[in-house]
Amino acid sequence: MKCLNRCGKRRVFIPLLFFFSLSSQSEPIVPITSPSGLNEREVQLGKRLFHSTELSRDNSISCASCHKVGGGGDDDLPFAVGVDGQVGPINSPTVLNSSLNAFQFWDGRAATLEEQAEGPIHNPLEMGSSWQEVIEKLSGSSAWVDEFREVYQDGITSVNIARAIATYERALVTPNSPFDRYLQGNESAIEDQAKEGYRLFKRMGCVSCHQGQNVGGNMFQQFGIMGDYFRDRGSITEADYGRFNVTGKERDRYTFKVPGLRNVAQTAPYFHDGSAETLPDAIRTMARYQLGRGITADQVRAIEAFLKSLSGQVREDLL
Amino acid sequence: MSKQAILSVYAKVLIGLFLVLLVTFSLLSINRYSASYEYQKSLLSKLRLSSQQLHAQLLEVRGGFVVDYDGMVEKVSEINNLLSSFASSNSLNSQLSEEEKSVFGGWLEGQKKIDISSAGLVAAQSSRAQVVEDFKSNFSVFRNSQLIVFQLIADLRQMHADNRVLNDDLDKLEANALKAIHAMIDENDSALDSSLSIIRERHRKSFEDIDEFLGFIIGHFKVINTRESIISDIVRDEVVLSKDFEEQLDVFEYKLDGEYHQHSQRSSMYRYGFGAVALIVLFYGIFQAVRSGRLASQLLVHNENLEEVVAKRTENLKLATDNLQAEQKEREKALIELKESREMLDAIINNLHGCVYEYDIVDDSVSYMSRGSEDIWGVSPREMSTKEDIRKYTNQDDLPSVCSAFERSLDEHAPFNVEYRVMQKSGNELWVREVGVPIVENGAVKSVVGLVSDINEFKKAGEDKKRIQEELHHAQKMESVGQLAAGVAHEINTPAQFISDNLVFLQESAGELIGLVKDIEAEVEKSGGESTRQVIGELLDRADMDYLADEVPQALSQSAGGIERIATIVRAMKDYSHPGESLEFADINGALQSTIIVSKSEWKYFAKLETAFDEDLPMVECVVGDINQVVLNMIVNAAHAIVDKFDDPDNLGGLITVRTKTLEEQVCIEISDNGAGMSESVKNRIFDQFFTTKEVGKGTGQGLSIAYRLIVENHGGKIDVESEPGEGATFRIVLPVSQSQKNKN
Repeated sequence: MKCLNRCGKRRVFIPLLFFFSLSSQSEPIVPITSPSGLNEREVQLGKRLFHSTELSRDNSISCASCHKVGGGGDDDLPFAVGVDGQVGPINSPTVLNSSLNAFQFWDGRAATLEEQAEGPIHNPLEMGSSWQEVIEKLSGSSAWVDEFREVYQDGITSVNIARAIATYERALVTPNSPFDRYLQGNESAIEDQAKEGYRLFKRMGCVSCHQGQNVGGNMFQQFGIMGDYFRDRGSITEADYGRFNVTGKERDRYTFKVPGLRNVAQTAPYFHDGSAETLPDAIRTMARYQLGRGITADQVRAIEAFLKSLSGQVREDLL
Repeated sequence: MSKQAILSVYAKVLIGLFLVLLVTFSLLSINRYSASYEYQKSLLSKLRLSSQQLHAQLLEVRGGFVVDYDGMVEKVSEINNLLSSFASSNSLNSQLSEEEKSVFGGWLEGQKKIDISSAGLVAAQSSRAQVVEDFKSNFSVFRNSQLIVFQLIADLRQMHADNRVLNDDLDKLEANALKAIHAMIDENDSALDSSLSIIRERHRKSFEDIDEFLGFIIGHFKVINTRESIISDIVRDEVVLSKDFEEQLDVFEYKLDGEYHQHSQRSSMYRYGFGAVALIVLFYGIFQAVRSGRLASQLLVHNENLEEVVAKRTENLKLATDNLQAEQKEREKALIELKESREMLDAIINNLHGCVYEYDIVDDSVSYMSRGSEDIWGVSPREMSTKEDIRKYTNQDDLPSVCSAFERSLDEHAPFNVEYRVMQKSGNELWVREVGVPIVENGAVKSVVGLVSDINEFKKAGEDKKRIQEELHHAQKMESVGQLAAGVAHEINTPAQFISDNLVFLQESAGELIGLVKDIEAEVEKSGGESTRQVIGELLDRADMDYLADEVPQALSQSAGGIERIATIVRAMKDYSHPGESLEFADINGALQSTIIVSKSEWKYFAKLETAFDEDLPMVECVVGDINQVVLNMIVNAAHAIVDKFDDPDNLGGLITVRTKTLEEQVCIEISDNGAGMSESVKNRIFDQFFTTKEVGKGTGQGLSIAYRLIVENHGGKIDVESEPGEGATFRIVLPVSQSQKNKN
């Protein structure tokens, strides 16, 4: 029996070899690098557009209405609210670090930030407008016309509006979070609890999906692998079908883009349906349905501490 | 050079240009094509590399050497970008092919058409990207389950370390799990299942959540089983797809090389062709050069000969030009002189007080008319070009005499001189004298040259002179009449005198006789007998004594009055016509009185005449006769003015007033009337000689001018007039009392 114990541990070692080999090669999370080569004028124009309500039908909603740059990049609501107070079907993802995602939207239907910008403008539940309407409005103001002319030779076009907004969004990364500084060698950047949380994050398997520069955002995954999350939650909507709405493939049902966890402490409520109001709620749900394991309260706290250390600062002049 | 030669030169130049362009074009297109080819080759090699890298990364992740998927995501995106660059450069390639086709026409059609399209590559990449996504999703889950299942077992073992039975069972479970996972034989699955069920049954009561625990474990094993084969399939697919992709790259490269080879073959062909053409052109050029060299030397010899000839000719020409120049100078001089004499003539003609013309008899029209036509007829020379024009502007009454003078001149070949009136364009009449001379050539009159001069002033002056003479005559007549009247007056005076005396006597006597009769009548009445009274009474009645007593005295007094009047008039006339010519102190008032009487006939019937003499008027040193004359004129004028105003002569509304006033060392005589008055313009001219408002023959216009002369020049006085039209006039004469004072002044 003692031998078995020892053997067991030894045998355990083999699969753990995989795990340890993982950690010995490089960290699964890398620090954010600031973008270079951005045209500052374009960024400023994009910022003005991002905060301009003229992009919506009744001039009430701007991009910033649902993606508050100073408040974590989202709207702190389970679902987004558009023109005429209409409630949308899905939670607003954060605009912060969105340039680090491989795809945009929960169902990954937009490959670039430029493509994404088109969505809310034309969505009747969100801004309920159109390129033509927006261009007309902007063209009516000499301030907009002049500014566009300064940056773009061909003035106000849909391509240029999207480009400017995307360029601004690319500038909305949050480098130098405590965890990034820890990764870069500053041992005192985070508390021990957070360090423990990171170790658990890796060991427990969270890091299999939430990896890379954005701690996620570069792959798709089914929500409820180890348990039927949607059956347990009930009231299934079309939004819940996720990537299936794009590819039509059955295996893509309930599959979503893995969200990035940068600044996650500021983006409650969580998940595409905004069902988890706090980080511990989210952590527990993830453990249950994605990892297929229990998790102790200490472990939750530690992971929470780690997740909180992922919050960086937006550039002051872009707020 | 002949036309043909020129054309051939042009043709050669054009052909040459065309060839040059062709060469340039093809060289350029070759260059572009090469550049495009090189670029595409580099893209292909980059694609190949990236594809290999992607495959390597996937295996690394699979093998657990790489933990995050950012690298794979980047690779996929890199390949996509390379492919889109490739697609755009590919379209450039086919565009170049099109251009070549357009230049060489159907000649390229015969070439083998190579199908180059990158669409296949794009499709292959798309499938591969999908596979990569599937791999990521599945591998994460699979990997986790592999770890977690043993972690769960280990955690449980730790939690229940004291439960030896559980621990043993867990050990068995772990061992079976390992076998199941890593071994190939499916038998181990049943061993695993039995381990699981043993634990469930044996330790149900030992710890809570055992179902949950087992559920997790089973779930993970399921995942491991299913996902493992999925992942194997995915990886195999990825291998196949990446191989396929790279094969496509190879094929593409092969085709590209083939096309390039073709193209470079073609371009070398072009190059050889153009080289050959260039050589031909070169040889032709050399040939031409040699030929032109020979021609050039021939030309030189000819040139020398020519030059000699030319030099001789030039000398001759020079002589001729020199002569011409001299002649030219002479001519110019002559022209200048001509111009000057012309100008002088023009100046003379245009400054003549008249118009010079030449009338061409042959053409029967005016060949020259000077600017003087403006002065004479009031028209421009251009408007007097025919006989009719001249006749138009001639006074129709004078026309016959003018025409006959002209005709006679032509007949007699003699000058003519005629005075006539011209009707100017403005309507004015003008007296002119025309003098004309016929120009005779070969016995016939060629033209008539004439001068028409304005003699209007002279005529007028002549008329004035005539008028003055008439008035002078008239004045002389008047003077002689005056003298006659004076003589008559003198003769009348004497008898008038004694008649007057006799009348006085008669008046007295008549009075006495009548008185006597009355006395006798009274006496008889008083103391006479009846018969006496009766006889006396009858006698008185028969004599009509009452009547006589009334009428005789009356008749006598009337007669006396009449004689008195005659005497007065005579005296006045004597005074008037025998004035003293020398300066004497005279009684102005008396003189005026005489004048008034003398002039009575002029105003008696038309107006009343009142006098307002200053009683204290001093004696004035003057020539009384002059003063009388002046005042007489004025009174006559006043009367005439009243006649003008008052149509009805019986109306006697007219009033002439003669006043005298004493001024400081001067006296003032005023003659006022309430006649027609005079306007400002008349007032201004009233003292002008010959100025009169009366009809011709009625007034000489001399009176007031003479008055002016007499008063102002002879007496140093002043004379002026006040008048308003319709209101009458007042003539005022101011005389210095003493002439020595005048001299002082």
